[in-house]
Amino acid sequence: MDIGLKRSRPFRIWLYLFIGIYIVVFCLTMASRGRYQVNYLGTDIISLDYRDTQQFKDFLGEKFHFLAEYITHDWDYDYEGDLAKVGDSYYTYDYDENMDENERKAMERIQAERDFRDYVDWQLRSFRAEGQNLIYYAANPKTDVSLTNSATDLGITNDQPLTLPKGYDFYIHYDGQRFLVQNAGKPLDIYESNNGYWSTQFYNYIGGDWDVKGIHQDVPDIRGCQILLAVKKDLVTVPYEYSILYSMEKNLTKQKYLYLALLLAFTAELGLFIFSLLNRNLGRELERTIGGVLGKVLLEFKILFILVVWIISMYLVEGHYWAGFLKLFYVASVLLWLTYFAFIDIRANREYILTKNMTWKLVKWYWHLEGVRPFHKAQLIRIRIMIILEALFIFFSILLVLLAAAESEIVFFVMALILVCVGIFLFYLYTRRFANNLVDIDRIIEQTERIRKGDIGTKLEISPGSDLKVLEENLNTIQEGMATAVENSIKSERMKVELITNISHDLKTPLTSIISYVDLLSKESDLPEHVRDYIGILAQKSDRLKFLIQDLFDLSKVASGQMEFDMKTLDLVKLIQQTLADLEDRIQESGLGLRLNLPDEPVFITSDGNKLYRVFANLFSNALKYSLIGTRVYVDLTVEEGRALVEIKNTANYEMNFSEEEITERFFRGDKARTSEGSGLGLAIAQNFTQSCGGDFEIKVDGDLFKAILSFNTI
Amino acid sequence: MEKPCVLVVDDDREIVRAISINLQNEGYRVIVAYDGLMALDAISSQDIHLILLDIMMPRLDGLSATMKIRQDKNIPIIILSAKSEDSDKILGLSMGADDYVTKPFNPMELMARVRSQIRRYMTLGDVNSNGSNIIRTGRLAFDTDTRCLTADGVPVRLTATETKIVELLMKNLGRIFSAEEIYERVWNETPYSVENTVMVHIRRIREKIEINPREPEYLKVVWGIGYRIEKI
Repeated sequence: MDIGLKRSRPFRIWLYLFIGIYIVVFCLTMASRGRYQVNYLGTDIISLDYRDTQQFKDFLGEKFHFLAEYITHDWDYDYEGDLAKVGDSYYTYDYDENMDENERKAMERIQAERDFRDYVDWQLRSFRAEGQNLIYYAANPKTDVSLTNSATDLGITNDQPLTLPKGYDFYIHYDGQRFLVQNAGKPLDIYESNNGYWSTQFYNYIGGDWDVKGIHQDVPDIRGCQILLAVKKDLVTVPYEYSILYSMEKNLTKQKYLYLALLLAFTAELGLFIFSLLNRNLGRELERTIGGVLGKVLLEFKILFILVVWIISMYLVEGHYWAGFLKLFYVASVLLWLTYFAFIDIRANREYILTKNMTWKLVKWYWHLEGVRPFHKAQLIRIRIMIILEALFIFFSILLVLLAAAESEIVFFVMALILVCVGIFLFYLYTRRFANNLVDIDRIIEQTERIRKGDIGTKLEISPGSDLKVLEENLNTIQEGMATAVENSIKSERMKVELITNISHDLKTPLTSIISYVDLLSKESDLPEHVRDYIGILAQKSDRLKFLIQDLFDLSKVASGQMEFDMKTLDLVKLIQQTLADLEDRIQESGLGLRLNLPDEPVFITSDGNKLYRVFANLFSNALKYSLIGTRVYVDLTVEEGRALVEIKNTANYEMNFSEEEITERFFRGDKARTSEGSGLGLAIAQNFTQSCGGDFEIKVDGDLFKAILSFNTI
Repeated sequence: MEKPCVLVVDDDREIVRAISINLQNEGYRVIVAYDGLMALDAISSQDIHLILLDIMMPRLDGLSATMKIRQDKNIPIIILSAKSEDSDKILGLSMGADDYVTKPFNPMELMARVRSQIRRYMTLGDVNSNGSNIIRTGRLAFDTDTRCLTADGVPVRLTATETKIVELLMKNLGRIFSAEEIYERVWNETPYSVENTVMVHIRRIREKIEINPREPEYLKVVWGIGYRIEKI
């Protein structure tokens, strides 16, 4: 036993009960139906013409009777004159006990006449209401009274066959002796006893024997008169009037549909009932199939369908004077079916019932739009939707306010107020979102500032669910990557320095021995002169090796940023003077001219004096080493706009066949031959130290002119 | 008097041998050790006046050995190391070493340092302990009464101008004097382009008082500012 069936048991019980009631009611209705009642339920109602209904015949009978009374009325009676005679008493119905017979008769006559005239007015109005649907012609040749809405005499006066306008296929014609009735071109025998006309007002006239007293007492004698009623085939509505014929036909049509619907519902219910009795599994299968079909239909369409069914039902039921319970029965039937389908739908499509609809799809579509990339597109879409929505809100609000003013209905005003509130709320939501985005952009700007300043550890955090979430994630990923890269590069630099430190240690130990033993060798007394010469070379080269190792070590340290700098305020002029004084001996030896151009007042900069001394010592000794004999070395110090500029110029004693970049590269030597002394790291060290000391370093080569330009920020 | 005894400790036997030869030439008695533990053994069994100690050695490294020795001995220790960083030097000296010589060293310089340390150790608390008017910094001492400068207890011969400069700097140990200031105070004249003049004198003084004038320990140039004698 599956759960679905268990759950559906109450519904099924209700279904069976309902069907049971249905059958009983149907049987009762069928049994009690009369042949000439219009308000019946029967299978032949489908083919029933409204002209066959008793209502139609009653209607015609009433109209015929009126026409008969009208043309046989005594129109010569002086109603106004008598009315003037009796005066006010007519209106006050001032019956007097003492009133004599004549007076009473006159009064009664007046009253009868007044009633008749009212009756005529009312009937004429009802004829007018029928308009073209009904043509009437009545004439009394004896009194010459006639009443018609036809422009022609329809061939009646000339005793010819009737000439009715086109489209009138039903008529009843009393030609002064007999009734001639024709329905849809076929003659109808009105005198036949059970055709329905006998139970109408025609009864009096069909008998037709006016001479027999007692039968036709109150019936006007219409012998010799002509009375015709013709009904249009295709009935039309009459503007501003209520055409009985038209509504009669319409109601019958409605009733037919209603009957069909009921019959269909009943058949289906019965079929389902039998079906589910015979085969439970197949029943379930059927319900599952229906559920499957319903599952594919959008919820909005279902609701629309229910509304349409309801409106149609209301239309069908409206205007009927049926028994109340029948109406209720019909409504209940419709409700049953709707609930039944709803039940199947809910049971089969429990998971989709809320998501399978237009609203949900719209919401999802909107969320999809929200996620659209690129960012600007999403923003533009949002602002467009926002503007459209607000415009709609404003439009409808204004409309409602106008409506409220016109109809003076407070309801419209309240609706407008609600719309305005919703609009404002939407606007608030939008602006909040927009403001959040702006705040997030600020945060991102701050974050990029932080990254630029080197802080890559701090993670960016923006408001949850923000449009810029992607940016946040990307930025954080980039930061992580950067942090890893920096870490790696620091690690590799540290390893490089460690490597060079270790290598220089390993080099230094054997070098110590070499220097020591060379020194011991040089102290030997009885050595030949050429051996002494060799030893001198060894001593010189081993010494050079020592400086080379130290330079290499320093350079690798400063290049990897591992060297510490002791930044202090110092006088650049003094530093240059001191350095030159320190190198005084070598300057004297070189025989080169030195042209100093230093300012008299001190130039203060912030730097590491020891390192800067090495920079200048390197530059000056380079200048001394590589200058052409007899030339001059120029040292200029100028201060311009907060920058101290030191220029050291010398004329090279060799062809400088290298680029300005090459020369500061490690191990590069100007002459490329590497025959001279020095480590070859002098300029590289000078450049690296200068830059690490907070200065700029530049080499310029112009022909044989070698220029080193250093600049520092002054204080 | 007995010959001063020097303990040479290094795992590189060739270096030990070269140093030993130099020391013996200078007239010292030499004991050798090839690692820290051997050095500690030698110290406990012999009367030693100076230790030359390598840092990177097997079994017990130089710094640990220095700490052990300093627990009960006041023998001067000169560290010999290939580590040339300032931080290494500071670490070695703060462990209790008296001097720090980086490899590769100049044998002559090493001998000068050995001499200096031994002289100070042997004569400690002898000549220099009495007067309160003596200004000391490391191996230098200046007697303000006699205006006499001694290095490791040996008088240094200075000219009159040099003495004035030394007096100025020794009386204001650690203070930096610009060339102009020194000129004004020593020459009593208005200074003009005096950097060279002052520098020449400074260099001459250095040659007299420093072991290695190219890497001065006491009379230093503060580049871009002036000159001073370090307070050690």
